Amino acid sequence: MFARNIAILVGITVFSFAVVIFLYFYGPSRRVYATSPKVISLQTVDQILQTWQSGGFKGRMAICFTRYLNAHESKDSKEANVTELALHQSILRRITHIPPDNAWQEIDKVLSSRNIMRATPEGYIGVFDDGRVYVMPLSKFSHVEEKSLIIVEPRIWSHEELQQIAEKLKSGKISSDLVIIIRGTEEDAALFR
Amino acid sequence: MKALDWKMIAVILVVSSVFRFWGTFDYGEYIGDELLIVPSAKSLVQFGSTSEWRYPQVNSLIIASTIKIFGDNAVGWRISGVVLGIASILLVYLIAQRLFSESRISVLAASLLACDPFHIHFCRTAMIETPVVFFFLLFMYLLLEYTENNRYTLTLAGIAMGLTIATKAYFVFAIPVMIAYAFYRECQRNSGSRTLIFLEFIIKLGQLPIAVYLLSYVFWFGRGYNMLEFLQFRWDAYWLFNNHFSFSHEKILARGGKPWEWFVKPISFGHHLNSDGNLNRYTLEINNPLFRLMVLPAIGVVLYYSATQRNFKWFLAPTLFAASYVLFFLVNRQINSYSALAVLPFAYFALAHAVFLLARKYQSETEVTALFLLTILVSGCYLFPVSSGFWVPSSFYRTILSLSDLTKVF
Repeated sequence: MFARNIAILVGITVFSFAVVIFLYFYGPSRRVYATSPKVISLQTVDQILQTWQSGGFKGRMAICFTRYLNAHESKDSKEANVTELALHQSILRRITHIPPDNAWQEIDKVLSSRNIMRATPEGYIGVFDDGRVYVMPLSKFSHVEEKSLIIVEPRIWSHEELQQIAEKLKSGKISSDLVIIIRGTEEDAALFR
Repeated sequence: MKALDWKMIAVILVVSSVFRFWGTFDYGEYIGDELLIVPSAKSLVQFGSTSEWRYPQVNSLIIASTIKIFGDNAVGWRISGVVLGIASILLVYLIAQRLFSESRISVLAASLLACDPFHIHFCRTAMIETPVVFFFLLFMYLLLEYTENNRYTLTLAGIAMGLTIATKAYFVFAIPVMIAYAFYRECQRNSGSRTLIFLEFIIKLGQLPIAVYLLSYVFWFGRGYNMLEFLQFRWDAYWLFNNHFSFSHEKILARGGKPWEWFVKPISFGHHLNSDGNLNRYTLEINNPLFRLMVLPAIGVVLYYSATQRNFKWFLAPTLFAASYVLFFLVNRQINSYSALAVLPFAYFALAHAVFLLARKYQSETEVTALFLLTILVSGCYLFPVSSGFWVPSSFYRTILSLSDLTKVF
C-alpha cells in the first residue's frame, strides 16, 4: 500500500510539472509571425485589421505610435476599434500605445479618471478582459523585447520624433515583422525600411 | 447504509428532479446571465476566445460540451445546471451522514436544499454558481470519505478542489478550512510521521489542484500567453475585482439585497412575465424567508452544542458557512444575490443539525423531523411555481407579491 501511495505521489508530481512545462511552451508556440519583415502604407484604419487577418498573425504584441489607440483620426471617429477587435480575435494579446509627449497632458487627464486604468511610473496599464494595454508617452518608452506588430501615424510626430522611432527599430530596441504606416507618405515609409 | 436511507435519498432526488426539470427547457430564450455565459461558452470552443476571460473556464467548457451533445438550445444550455444541482443535493445528504452519522439530519439538510426556491430558480438556468457549489461539495465529500472512512479518495479530492478553483473563487477561505480539518483528523488517525502526511497533502491538495486549475486555462494560453503573463493576468483579475465596480445594472443588483441581509430579512424580486386576469407568470428570486431567517440562530445553537459537547466535527458546518460568507464582506464591489448559493449548503447543514439537537433535548426527534420535513415540502411546493415561471393565481401569492420588487416584461 505504501509503495502504491508513493507511486501516486510521484505520478501527480510528474503530471503537475508536465502541465507547467507544457503551458510554458504552448502559449509562445501558438504565436504566428510573418516569414519576412515588411513595411507597408495604409490609408484607413479598417485596412489594418484586414492586413493582420490576411497575414494570419496570432497571439502577438502591438506597438502603436499613434495619437489614438485605434489610429483614429479624431476622438469622435466612427472608424472600427481595430485593436479591440484584434485583441478579441486573439490576433493581439498585448498592446503598447505610445502617443506624442505634447498630447500626454490631455491623455493623462482622461485616463486618470478611468477605473480600469492603473497608474504606473511610465504611464498607465489598461486592464481589459482580452489583454493588457500599456499607455505611455514617447519620452518614457524605452524598448520591447518581443517582435511586435507596429503601427506608426507619421503626421502626428515631428520629423525628429519620427526619426527617433525609426532609430529604435534600427537599433533593435524594438523589432517587428510588420510595420504599418497609417496615412503617411512614401518618404515616411522609407524611414522604416 | 440502511434500506430506509436509500429510499429517503431516492424520494429526495425525485422531488429535486421534478422541481428542477419540470418546464426548464420550455423557454427557448436566454434567461438572466445566460446572455453572457452561453455565448461565452460557444465562443470559447468555436474561436478559442471569449469575452469572459476573468473567470476560469470550467463552466464554459461544461456548457460547451452539453451544447455539443444536446444542441444549441435550452437543453444544451441548462442541462448541466439541472444535473449538477440535483447531484449537489445528493452530496449534501452524503456529507451530512459523514458529519453527523444521523440519517434524520441528512434528510433534513438535503430536503432544505432540494425544496429551496432560490436553489431551484438558479439550477434551472446556466449559472457558474451551480457547478462551483457542486465541485466544492464533491471535494468536501471525498475529503470526509478519506478522513472519516479511511478511503483512498485524497487524490480525487485534489481533482475536485482543482475543478472548484477553476470554476469560481467562492471557496478561497472554505478550502483551507477543509484542508486544515482533514490534516488534523489524519494526524489524529495516523500514527505515522506528520512530515509524510504533510508531503502527501502538499502534493495531492496543492500540486494537483494547481495543475487542474492551470489546465483549465489552456484556451487562454493558446492565445500566445506565457507563464509570467498568466501571473500578471490573475493579478489584473484580482485588481479589477476590487476596483472596477461601475456595474451598468447596479440597480438590478441592489434588489437582491446586501450580503448581510441575505439571512436576516425576506428578499424577493424578479420578473412578471405574463398576465391573464388573476392568472400570472413570475420568476421570483426569493430567499425562502421561513428557513433562511432561522439560519443564524441555528448556527448559534450548533456552536453552543459543539462547545458544550466538545465535538470538533460539529464546528465544521458553521466554520465553512463563515469562511464562505466572509468573502462577500471583503470585496470592494456590489455582490449579486445569487452568490448566496455558495453559503446555502452550510447554512442548511447547520439548520438541520440545530433542529435535530433541539428536538433531541425534548426527546422528540422523529416527530419534529417529520413535522419540519413536511413544512419544507409544503413551502417548496408553494413557492416553486411562482419562482419558476408557471401560471399561478396572483391572489394565492398576494403577500409575497406585495413584498416583491417586480419588473414587468410584457
